[in-house]
Amino acid sequence: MGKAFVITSGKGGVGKTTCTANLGAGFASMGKKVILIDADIGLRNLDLVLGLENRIVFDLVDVVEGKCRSFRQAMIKDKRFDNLYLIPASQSRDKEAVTPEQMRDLCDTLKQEFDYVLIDCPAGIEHGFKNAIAGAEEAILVTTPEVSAVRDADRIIGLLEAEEKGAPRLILNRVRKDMVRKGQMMSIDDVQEILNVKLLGIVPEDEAIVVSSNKGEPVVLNETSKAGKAYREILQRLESPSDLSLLPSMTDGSEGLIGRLFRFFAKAEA
Amino acid sequence: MLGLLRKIDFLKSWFGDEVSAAARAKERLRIVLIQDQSSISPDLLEVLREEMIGVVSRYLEIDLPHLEMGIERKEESIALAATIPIVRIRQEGRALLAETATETNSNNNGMGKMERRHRRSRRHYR
Ligand SMILES: Nc1ncnc2c1ncn2[C@@H]1O[C@H](COP(=O)(O)OP(=O)(O)OP(=O)(O)O)[C@@H](O)[C@H]1O
Ligand SMILES: [Mg+2]
Repeated sequence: MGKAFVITSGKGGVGKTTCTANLGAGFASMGKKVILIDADIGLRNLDLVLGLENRIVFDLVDVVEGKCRSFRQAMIKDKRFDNLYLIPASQSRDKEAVTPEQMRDLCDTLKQEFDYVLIDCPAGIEHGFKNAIAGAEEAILVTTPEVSAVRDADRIIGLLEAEEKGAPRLILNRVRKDMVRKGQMMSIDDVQEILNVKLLGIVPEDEAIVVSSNKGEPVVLNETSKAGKAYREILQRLESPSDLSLLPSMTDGSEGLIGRLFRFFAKAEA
Repeated sequence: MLGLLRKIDFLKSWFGDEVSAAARAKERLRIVLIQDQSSISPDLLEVLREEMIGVVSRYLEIDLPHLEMGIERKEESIALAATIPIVRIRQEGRALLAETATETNSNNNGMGKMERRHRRSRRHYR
């Protein structure tokens, strides 16, 4: 029996789709059988980030409406991994075309066959959000260290609680060490103190993400990128939650006074 | 000399000066989240009102049309505030009050202002 995660945020554009694509590709590279569901009906994007946009025939709405014989007809196999699949969102319908019950049933079916079901949630707290979380047993909350994103994340925590989903785990995305160090951006500790949820990982701001979405190749497969490394750490933590050696490393630039002084004088000498 | 001055600027940007943006963000968020989390729905308020009238009316005859009840927001806390004008004290209420007067220092003078601090910080029970 597999596990279903929903990747959610409240605020738009903070990195849910990027995160879903990378966790999916990452799990697949570890040999897990994975299916991704793009629940952002009307604003389909996950296909593009994965480079699978040319292969779509049926979509999520077709599956729940029974337009195709089974979900198998709608799922697209990834180019790189034959254990990674995507059920794309419908582009021409709206979010009301699917109900939470239908999503729950679909996820239950998928969990029989896949190790991981990852659901890419749309922004907002309306119908689309309710659909996306319905079939998941755990939520992964993505936010950036910005006031509006953190505020919306807090709303989501409350709503997940109300829906009895329990506390989500947090991915802090687009962290800029340099800005945190200068006190221009909230640190990981700041955000965690405000939201008070378990930290799953920290993804730095990284140009490699933009490059990889442009190419349709998830950055997690890029051995040298900082963001790729961050995603691989997150995957480890999802795989073995009890391994304490895998706690998120505080690589947000809180380098400590000694380190800073050392670097300062090293520079002054040069 | 100029080099040294530049270094001092550099130091300032590392240690002092700009600490404010992150700190301000955190403080502003803290306050806005208290407000977000304490929004009480009109439905809940209505239920509270009805039940409170029920309890108070057992002891006091109240001037219903002039009853005021609502949520008061202060800087860092949220209060449920009710002003319940009293017409007279009911007989049953007097009897009951007399009974309990010895144990608790009950206070039954005219206007009853009930205020309860309702500080909701999910942080504490999540
Ligand atoms: N760590 C990062 N570094 C740099 N760019 C990033 C990072 N994470 C995400 N981005 C970029 O931010 C943009 C938004 O990301 P994405 O589409 O994943 O967000 P989303 O939360 O799914 O948005 P929406 O709410 O619209 O569905 C994309 O252009 C993506 O490439
Ligand atoms: Mg998205």
